[in-house]
Amino acid sequence: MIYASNLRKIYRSHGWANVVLDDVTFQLRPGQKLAVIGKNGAGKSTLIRLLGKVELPTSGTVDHQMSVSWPLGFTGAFQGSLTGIDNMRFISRVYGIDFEQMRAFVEDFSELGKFLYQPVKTYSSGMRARLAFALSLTIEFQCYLIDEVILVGDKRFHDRCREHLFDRRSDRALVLASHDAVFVQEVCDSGLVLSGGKAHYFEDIREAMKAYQELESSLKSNSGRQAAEVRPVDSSSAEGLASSVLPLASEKQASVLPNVQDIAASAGGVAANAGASECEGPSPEQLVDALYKHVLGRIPDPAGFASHVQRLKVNGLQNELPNWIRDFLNSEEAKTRLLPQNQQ
Amino acid sequence: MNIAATTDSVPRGGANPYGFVKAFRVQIIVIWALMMRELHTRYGRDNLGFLWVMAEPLLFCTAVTILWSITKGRYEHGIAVVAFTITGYMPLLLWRHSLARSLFCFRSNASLLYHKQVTALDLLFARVVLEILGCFLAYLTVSFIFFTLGLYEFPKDWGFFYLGWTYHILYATGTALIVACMTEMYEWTEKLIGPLGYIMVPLCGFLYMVDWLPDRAQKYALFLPSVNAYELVRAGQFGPDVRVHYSLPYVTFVCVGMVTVGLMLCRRVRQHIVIE
Repeated sequence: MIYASNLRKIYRSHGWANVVLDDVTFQLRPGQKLAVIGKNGAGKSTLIRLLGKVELPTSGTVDHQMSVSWPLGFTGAFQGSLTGIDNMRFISRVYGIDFEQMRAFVEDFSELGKFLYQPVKTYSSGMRARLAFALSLTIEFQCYLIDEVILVGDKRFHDRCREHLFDRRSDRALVLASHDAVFVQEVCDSGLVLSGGKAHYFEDIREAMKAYQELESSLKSNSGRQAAEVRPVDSSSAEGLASSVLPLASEKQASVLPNVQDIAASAGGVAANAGASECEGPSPEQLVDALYKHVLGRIPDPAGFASHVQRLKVNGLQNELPNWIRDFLNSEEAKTRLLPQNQQ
Repeated sequence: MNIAATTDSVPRGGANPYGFVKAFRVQIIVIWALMMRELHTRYGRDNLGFLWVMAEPLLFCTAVTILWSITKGRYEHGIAVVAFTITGYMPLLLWRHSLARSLFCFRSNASLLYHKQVTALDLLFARVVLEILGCFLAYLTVSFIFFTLGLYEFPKDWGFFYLGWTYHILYATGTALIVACMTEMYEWTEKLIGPLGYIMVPLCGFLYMVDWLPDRAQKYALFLPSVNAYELVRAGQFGPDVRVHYSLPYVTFVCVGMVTVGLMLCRRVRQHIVIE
């Protein structure tokens, strides 16, 4: 069980107090799948961090009566200057897990390959998510705290997480911060709707979604200005990362799109060809190149990356691209979706 | 794959169903893991690695020994220059390194607090323990090397020697605790640490013995806990050859007080640590 009692979290800065959570009380049974639903800024991530004891509540208590994972998201849990392997070593020590067993599983699950031997700060968010997920699966927690954004984007990763976490470990408890109605109803059985710092608990996830949608529409009709910020429930699954890279990504099918940064990272070999520009119309290479340019600012060592790309090209290794990336790049969908990026 | 999970989250603080012993074990494991990690980040896996901890003071002691031997001969105030340098520099090193390591210690490691076994105190302790071990190893190496060269004799009274070191360690730990918490809670205090680090070099007792000072200065010098600790170390090193001044009740009170205040601040600091 997890007991959360009277949780209150107030962030203070510059004389302004922001009450994020106000008197939130609920319990989580073993095996229960709880969705934490709310719009951006409603306190979903904050609640997850309080449950994981990463952050301390301003008042109230969190009591763990089972082993609870750290909040799985894009941030935290790793030391950026250390390699993936060294971080793994630290985590295996702290949690008392055999290192070799852990490594075998993580190498297989995360598919990070040589990147495991690179500092974590050079990882894309998608890569970090894969590492975090793989590690947490080896530790076999009784409860997993998940920020849903990390499941969005990469279809293949999404599927594997689903298989390992929701199918194979269906006896585990789960707290999932989300605003993707479809996904949440598939995975969770109960819901906690956050709004204005207050939490409303629903034993049935469908009721929770209904309440959330009513809340949203009432907000919309009440204030025109606010309504502009509120997105329809089922369409904002790829918020954050994806929408910052792809203007189109916030549309309904956005979650089908593979994680953009992962493509760029692993498709480096193809990107190098784009400079040639001998073919007419956007080739897959140019598409990848466009993506590559978008994430270039996030790569700390562009020169090194370029030489890496060159090496891949010389060795003809671009054929080693995973099939799903190649398939995606060859699809009509990719061309229509990525074309605007290419022209910028 | 099913790895037997030994991950029962041990709640820290408050009612603890696992008891003190288990919590203590977890803390030891965590500090050990943090120390290993710290070694990797600081010294890497290439070249000398951890040996740098020893190489640096060795180089310094050699340089000072050569310099002082040229300018002053092998004896100063009737005592051996090498022994004086070694007993002086090692504790200074410990204190200064602890000071430097504790600056924003929590902030720079904040992402590790995602793992709830890891507490803020663990982050600091890992660093301080590493400094203490490094200093002690350095001391052993340096003294052994100078001993084989015939320039250094081992302490005449190990009791005083270790007692002095104990106070040095308490003093360094207390300083580190307070500095780590203060810089986290009030950022401007960081600006004071630089000047503090420098001003303490001549003042801390590394370069002088109280007996050499004018009477008037002596009683002020003894206000510094480090001066008392130095006197004790040197009482152990040189035995009856030197006259030492110290106050055990005073130095105990100050050092234990600093550690206590530091630990109390540490309980409060967690609220102030912003984790990304």
